[in-house]
Amino acid sequence: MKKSLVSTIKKDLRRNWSLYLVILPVFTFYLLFHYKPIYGALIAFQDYRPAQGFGKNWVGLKHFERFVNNPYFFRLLKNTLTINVAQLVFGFPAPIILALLLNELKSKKFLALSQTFMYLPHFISTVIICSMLLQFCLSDGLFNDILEFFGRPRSSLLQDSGAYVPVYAGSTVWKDFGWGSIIYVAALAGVDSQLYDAASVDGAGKWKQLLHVTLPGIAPTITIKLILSIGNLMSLGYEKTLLLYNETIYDVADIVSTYVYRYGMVGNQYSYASAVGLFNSVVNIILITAANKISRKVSETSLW
Amino acid sequence: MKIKESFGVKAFRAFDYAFISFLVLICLYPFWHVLMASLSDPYLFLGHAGVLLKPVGFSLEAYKTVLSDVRVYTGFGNTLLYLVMGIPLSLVLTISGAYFMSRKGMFFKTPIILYCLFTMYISGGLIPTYLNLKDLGMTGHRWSVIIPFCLTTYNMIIMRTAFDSVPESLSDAARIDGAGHMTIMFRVMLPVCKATVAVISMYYGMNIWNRWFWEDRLLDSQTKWPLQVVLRSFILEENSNGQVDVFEVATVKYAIIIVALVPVLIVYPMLQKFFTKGVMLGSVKG
Repeated sequence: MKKSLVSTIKKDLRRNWSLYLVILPVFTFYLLFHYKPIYGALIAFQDYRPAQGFGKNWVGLKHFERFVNNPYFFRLLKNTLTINVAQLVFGFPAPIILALLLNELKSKKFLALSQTFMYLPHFISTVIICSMLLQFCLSDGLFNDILEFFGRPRSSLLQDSGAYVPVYAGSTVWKDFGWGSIIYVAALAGVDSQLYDAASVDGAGKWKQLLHVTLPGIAPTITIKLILSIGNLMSLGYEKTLLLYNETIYDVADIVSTYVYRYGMVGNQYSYASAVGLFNSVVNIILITAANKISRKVSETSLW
Repeated sequence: MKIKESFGVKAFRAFDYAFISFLVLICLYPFWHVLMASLSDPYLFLGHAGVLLKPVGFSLEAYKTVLSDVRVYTGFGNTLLYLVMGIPLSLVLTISGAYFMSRKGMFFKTPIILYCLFTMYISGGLIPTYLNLKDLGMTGHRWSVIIPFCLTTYNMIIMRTAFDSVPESLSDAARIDGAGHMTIMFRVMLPVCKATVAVISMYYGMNIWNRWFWEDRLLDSQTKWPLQVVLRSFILEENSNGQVDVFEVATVKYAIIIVALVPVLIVYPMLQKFFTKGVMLGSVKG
């Protein structure tokens, strides 16, 4: 048995050596830039000091305990969750509604042109978007001009804890609602047109058709997207926050990933920051698994 | 047969057109505002409030300031350089990986595929990634912002899906004629999958164009900064530096945004269709 396995492998290597040669650089890439840092994440369980090297001073869950007992622990969770929920509540339905509206347009030219314009923000880099936001949020910026028009006092919006989440989440929704509609537009195009004919013969008006033909037709797409979004509720990248926030609004703006960045990359507390990051990843995995399970029970659609 | 539309349907359609137009306006106006502000007279602009349909006054002062700064040119130059360095490398690795995954009969095929896919779900996190790059000597040099980020599993899967959809008979026929893997790849697979190669090239290109974080952290000198990092430094620096003439600054920031935006706006209409196609390529696989 063992011998035959060895000889199978030998034969395989002899026959497919050139293919293995082709995959070798890819294999090495993953090893160096993915698996090595995954292994390196073990410093979360150590008191890592660069001078002493990796694998010394094992301390178990010390850093995790420190994070959980940290006065900022709940603030970080709350902020991460708040921003994500805000983005989900407004950003999730927006592309679906847009796709439904686009689907009713008769003029193909108008459709194509409006899509081109609404996809545009998706292609603009985060740095540019945030640079624009920084300008618009100044006390003499565009947003304040608009607020003043509605009788609100001027203030520097990015110094204002009350305005930060709307600015952050609003700009995310603005950037991606158009682009996000593509997948739903495609799903809508896939709904069998005979179903509409049948429904209208049965006397269903536009509204009934929407409820009983269109929405069921795109329900699987919606479910998959929703699972993904819920699974990501505790994951929020640091890039946009780093570009937008400042110390005066840490109480609403500081999130887990920026906390990791500040303690790890600026403060050089490598082990502690890694532990916080790892904690967050574990929470994410639990969330997405749970969302998937619930969805499989409720709607028979799931990621795996 | 044409069914006459009821008043309700007509009213809805009118609303639909109006609402979509409004959304288009929301998407475009911020850019227009920045452009008009950048062309405004700095002194008059400060006194102006509200939307800008045209510049207040007219002045190219801001652009003169921006375009006389050498960082803008090194920024553009570096970003182009990173595109030229990065895209070919990304394509070679992505195509190699996808080609391997699309072949049949290798003993280690499934383990290797799982080995690659696993990394889509688990990563070491920010700090271990950073320490690893330092450990590998990936700091300071231009390649250090290219090599560690040159392969995306997602793109490899898109490419593999395209290769998988090439009828097996084509590569079988080539093999019977004595073609090796190189010939099959370049003469059979790639010509059939040109569109996908174009899509993933653009994905990689857009990624390089937009990136700033690791460039900011890993590169040791301003002369290697890509455009995004230059833009960021412009915006931040003049905020904290009170010495600069406040009136000029007001429009300079808008001008640098426009300068960084123009290449995207020029290329976008040409590439938009490919990107849209790319979304569908990705979603087929799920």
